[in-house]
Amino acid sequence: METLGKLAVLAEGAKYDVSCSSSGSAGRRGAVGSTSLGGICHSWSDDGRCISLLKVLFSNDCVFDCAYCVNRRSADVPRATFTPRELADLTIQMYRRNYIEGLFLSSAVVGSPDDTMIQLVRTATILREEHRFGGYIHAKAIPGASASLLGALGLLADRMSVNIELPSETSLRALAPQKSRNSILRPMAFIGGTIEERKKWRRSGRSGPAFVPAGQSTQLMVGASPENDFTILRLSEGLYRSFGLKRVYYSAYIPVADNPLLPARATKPPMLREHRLYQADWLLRFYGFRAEEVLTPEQPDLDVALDPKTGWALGHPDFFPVDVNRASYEEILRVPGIGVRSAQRILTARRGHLLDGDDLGKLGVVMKRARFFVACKSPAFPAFPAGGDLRRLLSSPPRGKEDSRQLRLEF
Amino acid sequence: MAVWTFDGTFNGFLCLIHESSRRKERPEGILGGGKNQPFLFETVPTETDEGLAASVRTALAARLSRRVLTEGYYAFLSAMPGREMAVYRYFALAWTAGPGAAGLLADERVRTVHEAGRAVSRERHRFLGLLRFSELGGVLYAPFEPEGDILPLVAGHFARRLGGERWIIHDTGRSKAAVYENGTWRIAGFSTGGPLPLSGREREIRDLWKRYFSSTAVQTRKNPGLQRQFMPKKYWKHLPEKEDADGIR
Repeated sequence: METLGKLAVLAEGAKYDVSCSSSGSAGRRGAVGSTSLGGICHSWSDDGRCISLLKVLFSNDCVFDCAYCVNRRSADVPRATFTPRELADLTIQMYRRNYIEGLFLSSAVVGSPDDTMIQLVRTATILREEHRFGGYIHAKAIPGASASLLGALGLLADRMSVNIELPSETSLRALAPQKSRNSILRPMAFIGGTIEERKKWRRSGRSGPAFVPAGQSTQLMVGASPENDFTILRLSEGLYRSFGLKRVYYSAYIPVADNPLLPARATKPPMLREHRLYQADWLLRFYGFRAEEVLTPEQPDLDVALDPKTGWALGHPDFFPVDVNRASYEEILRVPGIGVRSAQRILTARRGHLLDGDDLGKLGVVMKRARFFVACKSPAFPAFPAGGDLRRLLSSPPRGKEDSRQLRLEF
Repeated sequence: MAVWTFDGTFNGFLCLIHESSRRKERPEGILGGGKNQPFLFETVPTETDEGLAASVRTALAARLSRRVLTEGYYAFLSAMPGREMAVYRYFALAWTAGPGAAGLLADERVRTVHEAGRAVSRERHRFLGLLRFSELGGVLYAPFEPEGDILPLVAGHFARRLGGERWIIHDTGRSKAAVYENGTWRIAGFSTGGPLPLSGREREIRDLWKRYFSSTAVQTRKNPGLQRQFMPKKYWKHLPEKEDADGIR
């Protein structure tokens, strides 16, 4: 097959992986290429997702038969495999034209996990050593691959990820019989541990190449299996805490197979649920919330009509109003309508003078929501009104279409 | 009313500031570059001296802070009408108020410059991703039409990134370009006299990119509104992945 045909097949096979971030790596620079700490988006595809990396599979010729996957062995799809040199050259040509920020290097399991990893290491080696490529490389660790190969790939990549996909061992056993919790968590623990070790090593003044400097991430499917949001959020919290993950991505499951254990083909992907999970994830990472504050065993699913921060605020009337002229950063962050940036601006601006409602608007606070939860110089905003009305006021407007195309969501 | 004129460059603007402080007079209007001279008003022409500009820059950085100076520089490069006078007022305020002036967002003079500067910074970041090079006879060539005068803000990034290449980034609206060769870039007047022909090899690589672009979209999640929100149509003209999309609408 020609490169053009392979590219179509292998992009098709990789597109359900939502991660495309090129951030977190600073100061890498080669003969061709450099990385930018905040990452750079180069285009936006027809589904509105940012294109930052050339996201393809090395091969889609899989020996595994995971029920939820387009590339499962039993699926009737065209198969293709790049050569390491072909993929490396393609990356360089696209990179020089500023189409992309780097390569997202993933693969189906060809032969064995280790055989596959060897091909990925070869591709990355050609890029880094022959082309002296300094751009971004996100590499997938293949579940079940040996530690030495993970170690080799980690020295070439900026970011690595192992996808958990299914949030529980039970679902994994039912839908991905060749994978196990262990075959996924072991590489994750190895990568996390080596990153830590390397950091300590470099902090103590010794030099050496960085290992996965932009950290690791993972992906969970939402709606393929029966786990509730509480289970998912607790799992994410644990991953952030124990493996130091940079990101957990959530992917609304798009049915690609007829299987009685999976949602039927006509099922719409749960886009709004995915969006709410991202918002809740943000609360964990940037707003100082714990999973148990957002959800409980009694109320294990996010309310799709409300963003989870507003949901929390409505359940905690005693916490409000928050006086923006006196409250701590952490308290201000809990106000619906105030984000990380506007909270920081409030702290700076209030040094100059007492803030009033107009000031808050100018500082980027969404007053439509925040006005019920803040106190400031003037005007006196309505005191926290009783439950039902406020809930209705703050709910997202009803959506015309079920697939919620209007959703403005960045992922 | 006295309108002060200068050559339109940032260095010229810095010299104008120096002249105003030397004379202890404040301009009531500032006009840069080739704009029509207003003959109804008294004009005060000022000279540009690169050496003087460098020392004014150092002095401003020391007293106003780098941050205020950079913010003013970005706003100066914006397309906002009256940007010269706005930056002048901002620097004048910061000269008395000190570096803290950057935080006085409730002050109109600060907010105007802050917002214009942010728009330029956003546009710069956008183009770091959206600029597209084509290989033409051994040179990488990227045309674009930015709103702000952002060539000097993007050139450094590509000098680091494509250090081993020769490249030209062409601001077609302003008929000038950043030209990179032998490890350094400079800005010069530039025009091509029309679109440049692409080689067969270049076409092939574009086709690969276009194929990738269409294959990577998840059809069940199509969302043209979201796509345009991040990548407005005004940018499509120079994007190979959108070159066939124009007729469709």
